Amino acid sequence: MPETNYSPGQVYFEKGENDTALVEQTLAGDPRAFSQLVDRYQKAVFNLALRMLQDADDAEDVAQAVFLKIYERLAQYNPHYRFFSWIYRIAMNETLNFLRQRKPMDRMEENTVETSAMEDVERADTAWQIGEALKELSTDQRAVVVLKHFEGFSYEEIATILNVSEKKVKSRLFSARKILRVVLEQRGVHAT
Amino acid sequence: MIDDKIIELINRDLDGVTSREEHLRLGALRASSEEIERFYDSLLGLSRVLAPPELVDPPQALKPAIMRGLVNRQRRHAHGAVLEQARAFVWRHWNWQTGAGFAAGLAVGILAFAVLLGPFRDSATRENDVVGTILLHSPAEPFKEGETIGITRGDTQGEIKTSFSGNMCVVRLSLHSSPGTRSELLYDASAVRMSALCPSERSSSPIEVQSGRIAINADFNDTMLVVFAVHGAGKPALHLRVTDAGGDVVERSVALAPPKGE
Repeated sequence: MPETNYSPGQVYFEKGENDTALVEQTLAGDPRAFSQLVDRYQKAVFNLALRMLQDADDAEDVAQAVFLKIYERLAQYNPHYRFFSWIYRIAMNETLNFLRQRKPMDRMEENTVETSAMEDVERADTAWQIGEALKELSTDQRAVVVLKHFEGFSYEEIATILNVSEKKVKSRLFSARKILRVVLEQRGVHAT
Repeated sequence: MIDDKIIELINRDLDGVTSREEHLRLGALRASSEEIERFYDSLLGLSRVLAPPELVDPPQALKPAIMRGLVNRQRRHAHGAVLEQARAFVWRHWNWQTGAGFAAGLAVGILAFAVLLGPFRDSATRENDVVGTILLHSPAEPFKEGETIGITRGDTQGEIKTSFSGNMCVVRLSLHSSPGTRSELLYDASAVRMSALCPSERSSSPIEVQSGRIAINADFNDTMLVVFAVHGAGKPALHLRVTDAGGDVVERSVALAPPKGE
């Protein structure tokens, strides 16, 4: 198995050393280097936004804004930290800002992405119920749930990304789980 | 009711961050309490339900949109950078000498403007290229036609026309004369004041302006407007004298005030 800088989730990242080189090349004025960074992280950023926003069009807008912000702040990136954590931090902040500015979420089934899970009606229904249940959470709670369960980050990494203490991460996560457990049960989603 | 510390322990255990001792202690607690066991199972089930969904491919338009946005942003920055460089250059080279130089230059410019176009205009000046436009736009009273006097003698031909509005008199002089001709307009400076003189843009004849006298020192094949403000009593007149190269003289007079009853 190849060595990665990220283990538990489904997002696969190559080793970070290449990222640092691409950052340096971008800062030196090579647009192809930034193009490679976009190739590498657009899927992760888009999916993070999609899980937080539950809307594909909004997720696309946010992902675009995230990469422009990444480019603007590239000179501020500290190579001592993992690049993907830094990107996630920007992506999550951008998503949370978007959520704060957005009106209360309407159900926009037509804009939700059709995944391969649509082939399996039961799985698709569960996925939809989870998406709806996530909307019952505050944005802060939703952020920790997405980062912990969907992205597989540790408490420490989530704390870094959200710029809060680990204690706060745990507190938000445990409260969120408590709410989700009840909401999903009410919606008839029973885990076995 | 389950204690908050036990809830936290269960959560941490499900996240895989408990020590071996904590894990064993939780096992004992689950075995001793059905409620704790049920809660543990429900959270375990939730963790399974919240398993990471499959990653969705981003829209194909996303990357081109990002790169386009980047190019637009760079263009904006390039424009801003030029202005910034100009500002930085000015501040880098700005000191009291340049400041004083700039102020002195400004003062000289203002002085030159005042001398050339200001209150010294009534003194004798030679203007090789007096150009301008008189805008008689929406006067207080509509202009009325005055006299039209024809000039025909030898090579000199033309006419003088006047029009009036209030105390303003506009004299339009059209003259075609031979080379070496000298034309003079004489008026009583105590009764009228010349407000403006406007040869057409094509004219390049040297003009000499003095109080009570306007002299054109060459052939004048063009049209010229002169505006007078009439402030004296009586009926002031403008006297035109044209002297050609052979010494032949043509003289005409035209009233600078409208006829009585107008």
